[in-house]
Amino acid sequence: MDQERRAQWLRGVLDLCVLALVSRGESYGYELSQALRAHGLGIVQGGTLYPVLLRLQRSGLLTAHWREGRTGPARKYYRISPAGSAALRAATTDWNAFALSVGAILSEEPQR
Amino acid sequence: MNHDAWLAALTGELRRHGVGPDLTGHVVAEAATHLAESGEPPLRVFGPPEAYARAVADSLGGPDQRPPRRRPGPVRLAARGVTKRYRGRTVLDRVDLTVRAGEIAAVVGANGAGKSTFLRICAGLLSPDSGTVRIDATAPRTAVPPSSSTRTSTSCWSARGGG
Repeated sequence: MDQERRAQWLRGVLDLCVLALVSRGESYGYELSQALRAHGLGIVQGGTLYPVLLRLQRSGLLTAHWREGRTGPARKYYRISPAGSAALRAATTDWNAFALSVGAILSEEPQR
Repeated sequence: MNHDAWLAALTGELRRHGVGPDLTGHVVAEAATHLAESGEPPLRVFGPPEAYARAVADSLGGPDQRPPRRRPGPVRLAARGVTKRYRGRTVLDRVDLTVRAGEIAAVVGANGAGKSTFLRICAGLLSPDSGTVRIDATAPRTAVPPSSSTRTSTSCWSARGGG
């Protein structure tokens, strides 16, 4: 796939993907990057992911707290807030409508 | 560039971009955790410190919409003029640190800078050559369960080289 176009698409939906992943249970940056990759979005580097997390936290859609790990360093865990859940529901509806429209245009048979 | 040099450079760049000391501590500690867990080189994961600091500063663009934080409470930890020497080398030179209830402090430094020594002194596990550490460990008098009560937390990581 055209890497530049793919990166552009991702920029538009990465915050929604992160919100959706965190809505399934609290998580931290490294785990989220692994989950994004497991879902086929490729490698989202920390330099891209953490500013998104920070923006979601600052806008009140995610809450965060530090917790010591049993082994390894302390991690910053993110949790979705009620405002985040509401934003995710609304954005999911919007995205589905948008993707449907794009899909309809792209797969339309040329008229003769 | 190894982890510690990269993290130290990031700390400086965040300051230069006007990011406050609290948030700088969080961002640097979170990056350090990620690097420790992924084992990947910082330049590949985060890019140059300057670029990452700019991305962080940009993501702060809008006003902070979270409910206002509780004001920091009374002083819980007061380290004053903490000095420690090892084999004639001064590891800590008159270090001061004040942490109030509800605050989060990050101790950041290069390998061998004395972070662990400083925290061990703060925890009373090690005596300083000079200086004092005063700890007020009084539990907050509230009906709030411990998990959501204010607490003083010091976050640190063991520095590692390479990568």
